[in-house]
Amino acid sequence: VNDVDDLDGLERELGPGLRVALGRAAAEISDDGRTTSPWASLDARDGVAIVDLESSSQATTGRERRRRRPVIAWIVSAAVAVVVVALAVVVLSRLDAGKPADEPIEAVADSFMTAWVRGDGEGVAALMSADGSVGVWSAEMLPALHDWFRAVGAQYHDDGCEVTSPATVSCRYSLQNDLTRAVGVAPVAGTFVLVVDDGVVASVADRIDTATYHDIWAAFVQWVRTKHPADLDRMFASDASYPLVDQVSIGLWAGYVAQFSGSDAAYIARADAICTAAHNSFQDLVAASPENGTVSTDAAARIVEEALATLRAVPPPKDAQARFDVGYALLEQLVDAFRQLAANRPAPATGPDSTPSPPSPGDLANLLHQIDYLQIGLTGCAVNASR
Amino acid sequence: VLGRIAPLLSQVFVLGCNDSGWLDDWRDVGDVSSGPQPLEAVYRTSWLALTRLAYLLVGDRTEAEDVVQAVFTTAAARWETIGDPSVYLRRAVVNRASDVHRRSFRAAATFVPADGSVDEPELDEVWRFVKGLPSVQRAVVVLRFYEDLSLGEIASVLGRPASTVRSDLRRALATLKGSLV
Repeated sequence: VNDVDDLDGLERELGPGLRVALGRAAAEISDDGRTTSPWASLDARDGVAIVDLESSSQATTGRERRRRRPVIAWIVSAAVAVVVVALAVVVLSRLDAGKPADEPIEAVADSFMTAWVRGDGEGVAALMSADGSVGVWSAEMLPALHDWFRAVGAQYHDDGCEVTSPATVSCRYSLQNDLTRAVGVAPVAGTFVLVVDDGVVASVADRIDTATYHDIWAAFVQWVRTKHPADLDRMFASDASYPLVDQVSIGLWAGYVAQFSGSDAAYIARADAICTAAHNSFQDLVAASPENGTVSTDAAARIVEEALATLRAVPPPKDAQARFDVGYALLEQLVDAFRQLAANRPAPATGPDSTPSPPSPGDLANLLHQIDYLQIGLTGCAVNASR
Repeated sequence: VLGRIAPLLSQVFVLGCNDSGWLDDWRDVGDVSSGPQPLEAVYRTSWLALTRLAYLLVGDRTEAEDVVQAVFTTAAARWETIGDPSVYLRRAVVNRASDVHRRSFRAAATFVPADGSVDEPELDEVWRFVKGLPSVQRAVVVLRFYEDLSLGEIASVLGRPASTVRSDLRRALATLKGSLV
């Protein structure tokens, strides 16, 4: 009852403002610029709609979109012009200084990755142009950024580079740090796309696969917000999207990541990562099902069972042991319920006088609610195959 | 919080009644009882509504348009088997947008409104905090307060139990309340 009251109160308090804010944000999207049908490549043969994927995609992401939004095209063109002028200035200044300009770009990229993996921020910065950057980090900030990497136990692994154009090299990497270790996830994959000009690195785009890292990061941010709210602004920038890399922040990061690693919050984040993956697997099955949303209970049982085995591979912290014992037992019941539904047989008797009966939709809903109510990261594992 | 937002409530009426308001977005998409409509017709009538929904979920117009395009491209291959396009398309947009939202997490820091570019900072603050929610909670908030879906309908779109959706919503609103005070 309190839960219901709580939600109703929150909806009454925040709902009107949210409706206005979301409605106004959505109104930024208008139909005005959509003058060209992106279905020019849509064909109907034998009554079946066929889409040319290649040309359809290009129609939206390439020439057609630019035609629809000349202002954006103008801004992009102006930005490109500014970058070209800036690069030209850099090139000219280096030529004036008599610096050789014929070093192969793969050699520059290799040097960059070697220094990056070694944690040599000064070395990385020395390979950059004066106005170069790695993601949002300017060249001059790279030594401090690598100090922060050390504080959080970051380890990059060089997974190889490939020249993709006369001026660009893509270098794949995998990353682990104390947060990923605390949560027990596999190394996070990413790619640096280096633009090399005149023997120096002009810019690096950092394309990290954040599908998993997002939730780990969010869990830590929430932990800091709860446990050390006064330090939040000393550690993060841009709505907690990036770390601050000054010495005060780095000191706080080193201490708090270590605290977080042994906490209930880290174990819950691990459970959440595992169950989110299970939920995504289930959703993939839903999307692929010909009946548009029907997944066999047997398949659901397998997904939950595999997730449960992964969860149990690492025991929970003592303080969270009791809650996870309950949660894992509930997941076991969920697997049993799915198996019984799959076999269309009654549930096993729980005592000599009990009457076996198959799980009803109400039983299943109650089970799912109990799992979610624990709030220990198992919600994603509570897949609903009864729809 | 309500006191800060209350002066802006009059805009609900303005936005809701405007030609481009969200209340009209789905006006031509819902009735499929007479059988599947042609793909292109559904595209034309639902593009705006879907793109707005995707925009609220990913926070970037280009990404939102790509999401909708990809959803229709996928749907085209199986159009004849889709029973209710409005439900299918909405669910597909939410699922695909959720993936994009996670991938573009780092890019979120680039969302910094220029000084003087907004008239009501409180509204932008609300929108900014919504963008910072975890992907599932954000989807629940958008579906609840933009699409005006019931908890049961949201559960159907997201493929989550209604009780879980209720928890997601409560947590999201609690987080927003904590951020706004």
